[in-house]
Amino acid sequence: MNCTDFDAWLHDTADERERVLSEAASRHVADCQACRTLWSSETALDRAFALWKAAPLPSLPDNVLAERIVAHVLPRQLRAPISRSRPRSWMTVVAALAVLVAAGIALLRQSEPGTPIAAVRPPPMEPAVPLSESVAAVWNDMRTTSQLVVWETVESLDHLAQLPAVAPTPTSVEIEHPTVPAPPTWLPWSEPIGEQVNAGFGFLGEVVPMPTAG
Amino acid sequence: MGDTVDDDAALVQLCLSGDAGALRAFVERFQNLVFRLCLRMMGDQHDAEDVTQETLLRAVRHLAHWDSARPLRPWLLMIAANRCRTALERRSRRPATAENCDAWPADNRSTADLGEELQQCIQELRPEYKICVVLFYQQELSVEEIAKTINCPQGTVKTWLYRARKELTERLKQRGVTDEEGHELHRF
Repeated sequence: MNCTDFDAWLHDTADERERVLSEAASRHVADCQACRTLWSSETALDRAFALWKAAPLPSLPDNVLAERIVAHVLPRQLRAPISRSRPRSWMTVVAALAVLVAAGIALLRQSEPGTPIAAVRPPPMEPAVPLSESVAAVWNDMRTTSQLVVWETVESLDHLAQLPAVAPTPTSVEIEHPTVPAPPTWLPWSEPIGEQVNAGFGFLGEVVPMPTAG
Repeated sequence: MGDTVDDDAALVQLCLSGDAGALRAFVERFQNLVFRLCLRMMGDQHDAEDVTQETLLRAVRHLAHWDSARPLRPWLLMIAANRCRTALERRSRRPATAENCDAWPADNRSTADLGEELQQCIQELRPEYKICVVLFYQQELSVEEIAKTINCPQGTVKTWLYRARKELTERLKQRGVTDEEGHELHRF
C-alpha cells in the first residue's frame, strides 16, 4: 500500500463508525510518517465526535410548541379548507353550466333554417287607441296569461261599459307582417267598443287559435 | 387519545382526521428529534427553535403526502434538513452579529471542551457536508438512509463524509485542538 492507496482506504471506510486499520494499512502507517500523522488526526477526530455526541443537548418543553402548532394548524389547515373549497367548486360548475346553456340556446336560434328572428319575435306594437285604465289592466293580464285566459278575457270585453267618444278613432292598424293573412274580425261587438278592440287587439288572431266547438 | 398511540402511521391517521390530541402527541413525540438536529445544524438555540417550529408546521401541513409504507423519522429529518439549509442561507446573507459570529474569542475557547470545539468546526462546514455529518454521527443514520433523506447518491454521501472529516481535522489543527502530529492537545 502506498499513500494514495491509504487515502483511498480512508475514503472507502468513511462510513464505518469504528474503523480499525487493515493489515496493509497498518504496515504502511508504520513506515510512513505523513500517513501516521493523518491516522492520528483521524482517531482524534473520532474521539471528538464521541464527546460531541455525548454532550447533553437542551430539550424543548413538552407543551409549548405543541399548543402553538395545534392552535395554528387546526383551524386553518384541517377544517377551513374543506368548508372553503366546496362552495367554490359548486359555484364554478353552476356558472359553467349556465354559460353552456345560454350558448346552446343562442346557437339553436341562429341555426333554425328559414326562420328570421323578426318572425320569432314580432316588433312591439304600440296601442293605436287611447285605452282606459280598465282596458290597460286587461292588456297587461293578456300579455302575461295563457292563451285560454286571453280568449276568455277578449270575450268578456263585450260586457264592459261603452267608452265615451272623446278621441278620434282610428279605423285600422297597420301590422307589418307580410307573411300572415289579414286578422279576422271579432264579432259580434257593437260600435264603438267592438271596433276599438278589434283595431287594438286584432293581431291576436295571428297568435291565438280560435276555440273549437264545445 | 393520540398520546396512547404507539404506531407512527396510526398517529398520523388520527392527525389527518383532525384530532387535536393526536396532533399534540405528534409534535411532542418528534419535537426533540427535530430540535437536536436543528441545534447541531444551526449552532444557535434560538435559530434552532425557529427552524424546529417551521419544520413541524410544514410536516403537519403535508402529513397527507407522507408515504406510510416508509418510516416517518427520515421523512421528518429530510424536512428539517431542508429547513436548516434554507435558514443557513438566509443567515449567511445577514450581517454577522456578536451572537452568531463564528469566531470565538480566545478566553471562551479556554473553557470549551473537545466536543464544543468540534461543534464550532462543524458550523464552518459547507451545508451539504454539515447535514451528512449531523445525520451520520448524531442521528446515526446509515449512508443509504442519508442518501434517501437528502435525495442524492450514496457515493456522494460517502465522499462528502470523507471530505468533511478532512476539513474537520484541518480546522481542529487551526484552532489548536490537535497538533501537527495529529495528537490532541490537553490544554483544557
